[in-house]
Amino acid sequence: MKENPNLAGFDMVLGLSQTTINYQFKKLYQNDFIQDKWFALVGNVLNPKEGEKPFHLAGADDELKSKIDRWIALQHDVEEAKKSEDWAAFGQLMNTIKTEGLNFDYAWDADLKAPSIEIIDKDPRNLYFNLSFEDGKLYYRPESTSAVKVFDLSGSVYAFTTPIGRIKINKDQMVMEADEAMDSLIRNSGLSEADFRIESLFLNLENANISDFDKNRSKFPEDATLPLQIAVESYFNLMLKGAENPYVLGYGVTQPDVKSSEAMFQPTSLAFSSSYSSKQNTSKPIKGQFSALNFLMMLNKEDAPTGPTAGIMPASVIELGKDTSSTTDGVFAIDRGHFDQYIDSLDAYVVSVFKEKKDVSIESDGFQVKDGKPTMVAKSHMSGGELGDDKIDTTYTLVRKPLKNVDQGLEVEYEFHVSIKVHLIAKVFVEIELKQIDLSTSGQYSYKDVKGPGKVGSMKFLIKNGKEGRFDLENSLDPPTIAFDESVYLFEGGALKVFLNILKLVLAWPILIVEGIINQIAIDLGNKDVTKENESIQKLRELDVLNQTNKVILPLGKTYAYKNLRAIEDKSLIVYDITYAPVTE
Amino acid sequence: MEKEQVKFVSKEDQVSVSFASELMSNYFPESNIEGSREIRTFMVGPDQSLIFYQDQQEMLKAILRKEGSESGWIPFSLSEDAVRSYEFEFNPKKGTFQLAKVEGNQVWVSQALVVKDTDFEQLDQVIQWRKIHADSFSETIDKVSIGTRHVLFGTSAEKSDALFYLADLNDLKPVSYTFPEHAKRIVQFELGTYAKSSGVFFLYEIGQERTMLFQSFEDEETGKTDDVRFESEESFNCFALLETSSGNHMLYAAGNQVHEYKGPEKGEYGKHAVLPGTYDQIQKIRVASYDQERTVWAMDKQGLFYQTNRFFDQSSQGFQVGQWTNPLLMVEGVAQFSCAKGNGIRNQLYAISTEYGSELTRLWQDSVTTLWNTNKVTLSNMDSLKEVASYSAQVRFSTATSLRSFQGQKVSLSADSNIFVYVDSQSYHLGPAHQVEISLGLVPEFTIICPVEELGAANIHLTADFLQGEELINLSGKALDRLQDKIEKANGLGNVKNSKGKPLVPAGVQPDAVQAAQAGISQMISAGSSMDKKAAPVLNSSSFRVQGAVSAGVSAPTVESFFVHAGHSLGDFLHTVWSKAKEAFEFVMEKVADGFKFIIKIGEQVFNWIVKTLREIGSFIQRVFEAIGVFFKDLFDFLAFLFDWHAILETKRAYKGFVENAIVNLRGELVNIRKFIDATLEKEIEKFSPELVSIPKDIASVNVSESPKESSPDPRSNWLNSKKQYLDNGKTKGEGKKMPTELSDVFESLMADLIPIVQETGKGLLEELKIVADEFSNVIHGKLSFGEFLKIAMEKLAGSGLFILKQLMDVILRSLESLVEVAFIGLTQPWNVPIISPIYEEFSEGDKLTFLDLMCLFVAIPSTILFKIGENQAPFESEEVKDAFIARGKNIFQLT
Repeated sequence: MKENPNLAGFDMVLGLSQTTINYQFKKLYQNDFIQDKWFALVGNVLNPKEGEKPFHLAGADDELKSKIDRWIALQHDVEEAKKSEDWAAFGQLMNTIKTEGLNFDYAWDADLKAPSIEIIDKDPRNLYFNLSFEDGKLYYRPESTSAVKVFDLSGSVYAFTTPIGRIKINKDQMVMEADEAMDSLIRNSGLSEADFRIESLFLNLENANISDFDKNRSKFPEDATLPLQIAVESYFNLMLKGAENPYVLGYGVTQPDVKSSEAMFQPTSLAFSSSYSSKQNTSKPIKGQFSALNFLMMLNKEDAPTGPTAGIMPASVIELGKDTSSTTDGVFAIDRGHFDQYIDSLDAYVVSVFKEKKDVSIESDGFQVKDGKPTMVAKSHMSGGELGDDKIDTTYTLVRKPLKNVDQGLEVEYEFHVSIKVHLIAKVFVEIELKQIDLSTSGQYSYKDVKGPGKVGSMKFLIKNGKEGRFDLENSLDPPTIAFDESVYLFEGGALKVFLNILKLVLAWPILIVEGIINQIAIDLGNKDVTKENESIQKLRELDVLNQTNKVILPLGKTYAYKNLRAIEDKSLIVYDITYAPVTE
Repeated sequence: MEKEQVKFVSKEDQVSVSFASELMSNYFPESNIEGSREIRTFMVGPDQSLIFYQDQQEMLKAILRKEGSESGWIPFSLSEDAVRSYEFEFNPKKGTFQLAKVEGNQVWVSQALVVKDTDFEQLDQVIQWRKIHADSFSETIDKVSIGTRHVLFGTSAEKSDALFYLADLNDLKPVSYTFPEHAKRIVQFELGTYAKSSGVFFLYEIGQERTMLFQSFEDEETGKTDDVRFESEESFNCFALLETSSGNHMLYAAGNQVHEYKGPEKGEYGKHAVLPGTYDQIQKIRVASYDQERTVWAMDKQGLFYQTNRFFDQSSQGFQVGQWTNPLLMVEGVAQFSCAKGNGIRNQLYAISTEYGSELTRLWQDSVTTLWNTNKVTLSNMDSLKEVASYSAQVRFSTATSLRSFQGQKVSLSADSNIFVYVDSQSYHLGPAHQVEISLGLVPEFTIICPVEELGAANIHLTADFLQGEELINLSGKALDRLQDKIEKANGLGNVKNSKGKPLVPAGVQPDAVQAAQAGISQMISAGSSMDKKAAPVLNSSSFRVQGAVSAGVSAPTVESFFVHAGHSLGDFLHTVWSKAKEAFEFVMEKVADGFKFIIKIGEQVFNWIVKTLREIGSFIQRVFEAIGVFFKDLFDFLAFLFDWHAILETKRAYKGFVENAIVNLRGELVNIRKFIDATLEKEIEKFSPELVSIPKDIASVNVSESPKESSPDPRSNWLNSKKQYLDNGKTKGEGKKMPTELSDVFESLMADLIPIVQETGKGLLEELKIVADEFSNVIHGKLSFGEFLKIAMEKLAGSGLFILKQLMDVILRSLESLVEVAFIGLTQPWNVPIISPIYEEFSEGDKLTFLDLMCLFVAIPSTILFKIGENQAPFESEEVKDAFIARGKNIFQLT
């Protein structure tokens, strides 16, 4: 399939706004999912001897506090002894430090604020990660024989860039964390819905170049630069590498379990990028409102694009949002070509309704393109029985009109044309057609019970975002009206009499089929006004294609809520607004 | 002349209390409340409920509990039109109460009322409204919710998604917000807190489905909302929130089951738990908590259920908080309810039950016995009449010391378990921690009416400064004794016949079961009567503790059974489990140190409880009867005193005939009487000398304020007398004719005229008047002619001083003249007296009550009842006696 440049070559893109991510970080912070305090002593970081690995000491507050005090006191004395060249005392102090296990390079006693990210203009593969301190101190010993320096961290910010473009999801790790039901889903798709939760953003930031801080965004005492660089990086590395789950920042974030169901558009691979947008809401402008962190997805196990521009979106998809109020958190965009898969299933459903009718055959077994329009032609031939020698040929034609944006959703409309040819036949050794009478939806003439003019019927389906990735199909069905193509007053004599008899049958058969089809769809799609039920309907219900209303079409329904499904024709996209609204179940 | 100081009774006066309690029907001028949609309860104080409801026209109404008022409730009207939705908020920090309603497609918000400074009895006067509306009037405002800082309302419109509006209560400028999905209609919303964010919990419709959502308010910094959805295997119909100690709310969402959602806290993800029990589509759910204890009330198609996490654990012999009980069906056919907690009331709720005609019903669990009680919430309605089965106890005080007044003295009432009673016409809550003070009137007596739905009733404790010790009023004792007596007289329960001569125990009950029941009932009755009356309330009843296991009075069974595992208390058991398993039972009773141990075996399951109050015993007796198909209604018909309205009417007719004749006669004779009195007085003035003006000694020893000694207290004969407080209440209400003002004018002027006379003569005169009145009754009974009477009267009254006597006779005669005129009007004019008119009209088959009828009824009811009790027949059963009596009226006032 042709790559869609508006999705940077991917099949689907979910753009989650910077403001949402930061608010969700804040929620994780408020509810103690991420650490709000760093309190630890770390050693073997600066100039370790061979074989020495960094270690850290964490524990009860009082214990750590007294250790820090003792360490500061000892280091102070060491420096004094060194200055006064009292080597005996110096040696003894160094020994005390060793025996008491207080050979530390730095220590944290700091309260953190909620971390935040910032999407960078013209850099879709990195973002800023801001580590902010509420207050507290960094204790830093530049050399083993020097006194401990104390840096006040109140209001400090340490901002660094972290790459987001080339993260690969570790499949094995996810399988381990998933429950049984998810197991097969992940094996099939390689992705879990949990990967789309905010918690996973921490998980996926592990390759950050932490020491490379951003001068403009960071804020801390100038002389603390080196100590902070060393201590932050060291502490992250220590927490990341030492911990069972290598999460950035030492935050013990775990992914929640998500029981999701497989969607029609189930992503099979995931990559990230970001899209900066300077756009802001006029009513309440906030920086980063339209900047997106992009979840870039492929369908059907197709390979993700790899070129130099792969994943670089021409613009933030959030700018396409219809409802951009505080409720929504971004936009989900699907390549139109892929979305047609759903339209195809709708076609298949409509075809199945006709197929179920007796004596109806479908040309080419479904829709085909005729005159550039998707068209289904169904035919029925009736003869024998009460018809005697006469025959009736009926053609039902459905023409699907282009997808149309309407309030709250997308409209698919099928025009319903009917054409009936009645053959009056005299059979004397051979059949002789005495007369052919035509009726159709474009006929203009009335006679007796057939009231003209004819009218093309219409079956409209409004596709609305339903619950958890499902679609609600609302239908409005307008049956076709059939009238005579020529004035019946043209007939005379015996032919008219014969025709009058046939007229009854015309009304009885093909028109009943039309009514049946309309009824059937109404019943299938839950129009409560129609209550007729029979065995064939029961059978139809079991057909997978009919379970439209309960079928998960869009993915990630347990993480995001959807609305305003619409087509953007010039970009060849189907988009809808999303709200980050994880399900608790 | 010596003037006496009024002296009040004290401990030294050897005051004795006499009382009698009867099981009988009683009547109140009350009507039930018919509600339609939402009921909400606000506790104005620890015991004072303010209940809001929408009436059948969906008008917003409220009723306020008021101790000591008629019916116990004061009504308010809080809307002029139908109200689609309403809600109130109590801000515990500020102690304020605020109400919001949707009326006329606008939202109305009241001012924040400081609860402690607000006179809730004037609520409808005090409340002021401000109004707001949606952006467009094409939107329909469906619902409103109010919090401590915001008011929220939801709208729907034909072709677009539902919206909700949020307005700060300070400026009331609503801002609209969208939902994350295509919400068509909001089913329910409540303001709450989740994961430390304030916001709104929503249940809304999307397509054919529903979503349960929490959406936080917009974050200032990021401009975003936090959105969380709650799902389960089933779709939800409703939800309730419960605030936890962390400030977050727990969500209880309900479909066919109750789902508990706890949000994320302290680094742990939210949890979803399903409570035990399956319902049939829960339509409404409420959750209440006290400390760690939680109670869920859930209403489904069947009725109202209750489940709690206060679980009776047999291994620890006590209650454990944390494990949920199975749901118990408490009230069938409930359409609406609201629950609240009260002092001494463990669980309390108000329900509208379709089964009983949409009437507001109160269901509450006593904290002492854990027994459940139901009663209809009623409003005082002078045009209405409500019959209730009750224990009625008439209580009288008397003292051997003369001339001590009880007037204004206080008597304290409490009860060993929580009950709602009437003292005369006023409603009160009595309980171990609910003491009520009653002021005595000139006549030191009152009637306690305790509505009951079973034989058991609480003991009432009575104390007063003038009493040596506490008095115990045993309401049910007499009825239980009578029951025992009747069983014995009939030679067994199986032979007992009801008032219609049919067997009390229905046919088809196994004789063995009847025998066993009889044995159990007899034992229980004797157990009940052997309970030391003074020491009966042995429970720790002085304080209300929700977690106090002792308050349940339940001991642990040791046998495995699902009922026991379900952790239900005695009250819960009796209310529900018993009634479903009463076909076969075995019954054992043992005396134990602190009460009686009752053991009930149902099939293979054994239940035992230690009961400590007579109330519980009564409750058990009731259940034993139920087990053999005898219900309270049957027992009531069998045991209760039933008014013989026919005999009462006959008596009244006799009196009325007599009085009619007398009045006609008196009218004609009044001129003669006046002449006679004047002439006699002139003669007497000459005859009597001032030194003779003194009160005879034997009269001086009589205590005016003492109740008549000739009869002991009897709530039956005193029945109408205990209703006289209602007489004044017909004045402002009702469309029927009220008490003739002429009559009250006569009384008022009589009293006004008498006061200076009495002030001058002291109480001695009243004594004389009493003797005169006794003599008058001799006139009526034909033992004395009216002329003789007047002589005696004047002789007696002459002691008060002739000048005063002249004044007095003048006053009396003037009043008499006026009275006769009024009585003449009263002869024909029907008028409307609360309670009495409707009862009278019912029993007299449509006769209207006239003034004369009423006066005669006041005499006829006690005299008929007492006569019947004493003579075993009605006073005027014989036509001759009746005719002769009526005829006497014709010449009673003739002087010659």
